[in-house]
Amino acid sequence: MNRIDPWWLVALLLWLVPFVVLLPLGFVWLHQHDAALYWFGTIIVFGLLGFGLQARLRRRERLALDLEHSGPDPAWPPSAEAAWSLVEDWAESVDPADWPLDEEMRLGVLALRTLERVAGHFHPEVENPLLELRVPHALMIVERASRDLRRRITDHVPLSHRLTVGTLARAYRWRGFAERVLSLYRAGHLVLNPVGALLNEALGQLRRRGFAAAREDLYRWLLQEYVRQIGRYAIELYSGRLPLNDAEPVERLTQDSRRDLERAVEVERAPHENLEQEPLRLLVLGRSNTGKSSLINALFGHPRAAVDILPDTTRALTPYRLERDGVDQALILDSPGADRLGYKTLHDAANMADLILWVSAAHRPDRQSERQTLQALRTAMAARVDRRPPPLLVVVTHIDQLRPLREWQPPYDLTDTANLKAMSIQAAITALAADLEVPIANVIPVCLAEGRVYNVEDTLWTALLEQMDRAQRARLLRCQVARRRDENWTLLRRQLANAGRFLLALPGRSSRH
Amino acid sequence: MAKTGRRRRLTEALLNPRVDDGALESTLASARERLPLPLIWLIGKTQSGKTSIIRALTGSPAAEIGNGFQPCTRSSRIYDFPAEAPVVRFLDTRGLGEVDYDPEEDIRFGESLAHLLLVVMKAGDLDQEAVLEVVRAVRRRHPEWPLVIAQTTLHEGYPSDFEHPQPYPFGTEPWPASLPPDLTRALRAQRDRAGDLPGRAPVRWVPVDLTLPEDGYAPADYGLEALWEAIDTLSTLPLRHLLGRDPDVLDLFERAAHPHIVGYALAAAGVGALPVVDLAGVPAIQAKMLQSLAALHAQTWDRRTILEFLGLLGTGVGIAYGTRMAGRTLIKLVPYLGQTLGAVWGASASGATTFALGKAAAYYLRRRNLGLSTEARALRRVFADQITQGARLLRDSR
Repeated sequence: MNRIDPWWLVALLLWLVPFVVLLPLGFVWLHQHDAALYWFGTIIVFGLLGFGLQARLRRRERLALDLEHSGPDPAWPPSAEAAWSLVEDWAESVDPADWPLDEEMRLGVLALRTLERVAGHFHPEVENPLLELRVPHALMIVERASRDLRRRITDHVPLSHRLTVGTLARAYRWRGFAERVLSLYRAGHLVLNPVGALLNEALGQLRRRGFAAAREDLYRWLLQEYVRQIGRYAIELYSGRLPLNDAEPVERLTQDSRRDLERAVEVERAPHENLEQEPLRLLVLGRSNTGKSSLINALFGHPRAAVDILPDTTRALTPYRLERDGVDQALILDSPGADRLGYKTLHDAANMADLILWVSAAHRPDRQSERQTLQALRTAMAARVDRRPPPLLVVVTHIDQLRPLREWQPPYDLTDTANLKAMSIQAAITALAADLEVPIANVIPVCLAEGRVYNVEDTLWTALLEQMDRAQRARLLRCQVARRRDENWTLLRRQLANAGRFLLALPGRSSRH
Repeated sequence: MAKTGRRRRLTEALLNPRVDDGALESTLASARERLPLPLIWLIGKTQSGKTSIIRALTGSPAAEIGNGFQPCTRSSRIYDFPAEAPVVRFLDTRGLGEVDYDPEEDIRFGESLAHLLLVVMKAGDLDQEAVLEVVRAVRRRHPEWPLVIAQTTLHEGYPSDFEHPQPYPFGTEPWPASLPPDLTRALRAQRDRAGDLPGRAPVRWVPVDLTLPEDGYAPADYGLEALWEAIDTLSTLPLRHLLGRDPDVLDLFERAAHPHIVGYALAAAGVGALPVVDLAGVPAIQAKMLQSLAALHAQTWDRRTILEFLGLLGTGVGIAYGTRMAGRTLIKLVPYLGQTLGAVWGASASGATTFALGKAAAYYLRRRNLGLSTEARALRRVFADQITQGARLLRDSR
């Protein structure tokens, strides 16, 4: 204020006086012609129209901005979802007025607060959860969040390629000064033209509020997006999903799969072929003698697993390599009867699976033990918050043994109420779905008897392919967990090796001095 | 005075097609206490073929068996055959295979009653540890109970289009080589897995395939003869005779009627042996029996039929008891029957007479069904023969 010379202002006003005088003169003229009321009316109508248009434009602008929120990653484990809702709440509560752009450190503080929230969620037991952050990881967050924010701004904010951070910052930095000038101008205005000044002031208030709101919306969106991006990577980091290596986790074989692949080669005496990618792991489970090995043979289309009428033909988890168009490289694991497998073996196997094929016999309705095994498996999988449970398909075998006993004339249309066999099959799968508590859409009746293989090529494969998305997501999470484990070990080994070298060098160094 | 009152009650009982169910039920219940029924304890997983076994042994349709089951303990149910006047009871352990199933309660329930353990296993289902656990527990407690293990649903081990091997090959060792190898291996594996079961009463393994006629395997009751043979050898009960499943009885109606007659005869014997004999109880049972028999033969049991039947039988009853009945009116005969049986012959007499009366009625009803008239002489002969038969049966079944 004191930087402006008052005499300059007087000079300016003198220039303006003749023009300002026009306003009252015009008003007098309007009064003489009895048109003042029309004039007022026009002002009000135009003002309202202008305001309405502004409000509409603003809403459209806001809608366009609102549509573009970052969301949580669908591949996240369930534990991350709670953290994400924390981030969302935090982003919603961010008020642009509290985080002005002109104070450089403020944005850093905002990022820190976001990190604190996420860290606190994952490490509630630690007093200062931020310290759980590893240095290379912290750097990576900044790197990734900035990269993503840049992408989002260029993609979604109109004219953003011309928008500079400076524009936003300047708009804020000069705001105070501009407002002060304006209030002075308004005061002068009021003296010279009370009516016009009043109207102008009212309109100005409306207009300014509209503009300010639109600008504020943009800024708020920016801040929220910033918080979300930071939060997103913080979650990735603290949930331990973010590997220090940039490569996709699925691109490398996990140790378990490498071992199983070697076993598969051994079992099948097939030529050794190196697999670069982590295969999908399909696990075949079920009670003994329900046809697990037969199912594997049917999926391959030729015998690979030993099959017999006596139980326990399959003694241990046996991997086979499955290659087929439309399916990623896959390992399919045959298992002994679930009731013969130890609790731990069963759970380890299920933990390493991306898709579970549960085989159940249609003509063995004593499913109590099956239901219990499955229930225990489900509970154990639900307890693992860092993983999504693999999809489960129930394969119902021995449907040819259902009544009428001697009839076997596939194909069967299960909706056909005139066909007794089709009705028995339908009844059997309904009962099975209820017994095992699985949706009936995931229950697939097949026949695996010698010379009677039915419904495997078409229905079962289709159902398998439909589950591929979920299986791939399960694989991603599984690989991330495995990779983190590997990474910890390799890093620790490297660090220990370096520390060892240092210690070895130490006596030599001290003797030299 | 008392005599005329009783006579009226009796006349009513026989002539009135409706019997007071409540009174009869309590009579039968007290009779049952007096004369415990043989119990066959069926042990096997759900749908392993227990109902099929009962169906094959009793000859009653599967639906009837399903409806006839009554819950008795938390995890078991009981089936009385025939329902109104049972000859034999089947105890079915339902919860078998469930992890928290404890056979203790069932063992206690069946302890004083069970006479035969009948284990049912699907031949192709080798996962029978839960069943064998129960069998071992029961046999440890009751080493004297005979044990028959039926290996059912043989057809699941057949190649397609294979028919039941005839003659029944499992009676003699070694089994013929023409049997499907998968089936014989499964059967042997099941026996091997059971190992040595505790208990001193012998164990018999019987492969059977009890299908429904519409299933397309002939005969539907494959191996039933071997099962009966095993039960007859192991059990002291004339079970087969009680159930009317003797191979020489070919007439379907007679087969169906027999267990009903035995059931009522046993009930009557039980009532007759009660210390304070309500003699009206016996004729009520007899009346109820005649009604059920008529229903079995799909005939109406009205006043005219009763009078005709009693008229034909009249002197036959007299011969049997060595009393002079000539000149008496038919209605007078009936109270005499009720009184004499209770007072003179006691328990076995009223049982045997009920048995003979039922047999005679069945004979009469069968003839009527065939559109033939019944000769009084023939009917009396049947009655006289069956009195001895009945007495022997009741003696044996004690």
